[in-house]
Amino acid sequence: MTEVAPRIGKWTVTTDGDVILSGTNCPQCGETVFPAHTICVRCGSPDTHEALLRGPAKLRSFTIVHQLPSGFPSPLVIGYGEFEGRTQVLAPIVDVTRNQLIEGRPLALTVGVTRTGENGEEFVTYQFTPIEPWESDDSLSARASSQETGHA
Amino acid sequence: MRDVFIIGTGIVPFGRYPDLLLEDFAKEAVTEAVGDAGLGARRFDMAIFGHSNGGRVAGQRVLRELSLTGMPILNVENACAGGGTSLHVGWMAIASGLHDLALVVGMEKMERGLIPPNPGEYESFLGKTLPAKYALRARKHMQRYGLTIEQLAQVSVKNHSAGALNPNAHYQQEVTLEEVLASRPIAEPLTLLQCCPTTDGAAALVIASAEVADQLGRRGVRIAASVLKSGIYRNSSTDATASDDDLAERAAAAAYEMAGLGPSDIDVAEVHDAFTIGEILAYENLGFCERGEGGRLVDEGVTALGGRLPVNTSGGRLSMGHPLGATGVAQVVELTRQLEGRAGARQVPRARAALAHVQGGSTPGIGTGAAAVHILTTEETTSVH
Ligand SMILES: [Zn+2]
Repeated sequence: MTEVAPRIGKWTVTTDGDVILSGTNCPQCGETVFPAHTICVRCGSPDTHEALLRGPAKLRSFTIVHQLPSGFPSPLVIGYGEFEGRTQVLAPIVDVTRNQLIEGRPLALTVGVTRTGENGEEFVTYQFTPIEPWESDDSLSARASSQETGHA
Repeated sequence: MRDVFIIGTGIVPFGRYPDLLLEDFAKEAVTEAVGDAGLGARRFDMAIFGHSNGGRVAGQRVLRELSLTGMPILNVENACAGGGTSLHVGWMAIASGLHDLALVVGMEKMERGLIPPNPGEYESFLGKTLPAKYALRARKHMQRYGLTIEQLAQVSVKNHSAGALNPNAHYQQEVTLEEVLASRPIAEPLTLLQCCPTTDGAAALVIASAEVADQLGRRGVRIAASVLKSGIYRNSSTDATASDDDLAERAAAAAYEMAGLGPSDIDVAEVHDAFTIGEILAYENLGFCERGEGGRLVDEGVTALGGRLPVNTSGGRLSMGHPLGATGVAQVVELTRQLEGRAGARQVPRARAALAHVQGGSTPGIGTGAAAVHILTTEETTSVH
């Protein structure tokens, strides 16, 4: 990345360590979006307000990405987390095993290093982490080519 | 609006041209199309070039090689839909009555590997590569409708089997279902053989008003519909259709209305199969089947050569390759030759109506940047819709 900051959405971490995403809500059409939009992307209203998104989110679609630009860990799991039926946010899913990748499962919002830049600088972003404890150690790196994940 | 006809086609074999400039191979496609149209000394009123990587005034650089100068030349960028967009611009110029004879070229010399994202694409910054975008759509379809990885892989088998018959395809080998599934994972469930290769290529069309087409004795294939749309924001939780699918659906609906035809009238189609799931979703978005039935369509062989509605007879992006701006024009070259009965071993018998669909370009939050749908007919086609 260059000197231009990446345009990912804004987040804050509370004193309790909770991660909160800062999006916008449109009173006119009711749409909530993240990242924030000053003009509502659905109806065009300029009258949007800040809307905070807190975990847990529910896992929707996901993929395990093997071919990545340099700077990412490989493989990388990414997926959409749904916030209370309001909006879906895409983020890397970390500390995850294959059998945790099931639609509807809860994800905590966390923060961590998603990638490194050309000069070794670390980019910290919001991420998802599965909430429930899972017994299996069926790690991603051990079975990188399986096709069965979450095929339910 | 006036009728617009396709009176000449040209294409260079798609592949890798590391030692050639874009101008070197794009001019060959133009030369073939001009010769096919039998233009003689007649000059173009306008030329439109679709490309994403050609750099400044690439169209002028190509035509300079052929001493075709002086007319308005437009360079059009619309990512994977750049070729379809260029044809739409040419169609507008002639249908509106402003011009009578135009050249439409799609061309690209690609960078190797993944297409780098634009800096403002926040999802790409977090790891959503282009294959990953399609993989997420595939997973959603599997979750919702039970699409299987075998049905996905079958799209690649089918298109490689058509590509093996196309001397202009980048890859002209058949592949087996086992080979597709066993190729290395790119973004699960998509494997390498379910992703289009990195390919250079160029294709050209000569389009004309009825008057000029008649003068040249080439009133064969008519552009019955030309539609270009962009994405609209959709909420993936509360809206029935995702923005990428909604876009293709709207473009197709407008094209069918313009042509006075319906999906059941189409005899052959080229759809956007940059990744296997793209073709499955296209079947549904273009009305070739009900939503959720795309996997079944490929399973039953409906869209294979010899089926009721052959799709991607060229070999599709999966075997032709996908030089972004070239693709939309190459699709229409294939379909024009199908309607002219000049498609060789890939000929679809009695093809009278054809549909071309391209879409591409990511715009965060509003899905795909552009979709173009064209419907071509032979002169004797009448609607049964
Ligand atoms: Zn609104």
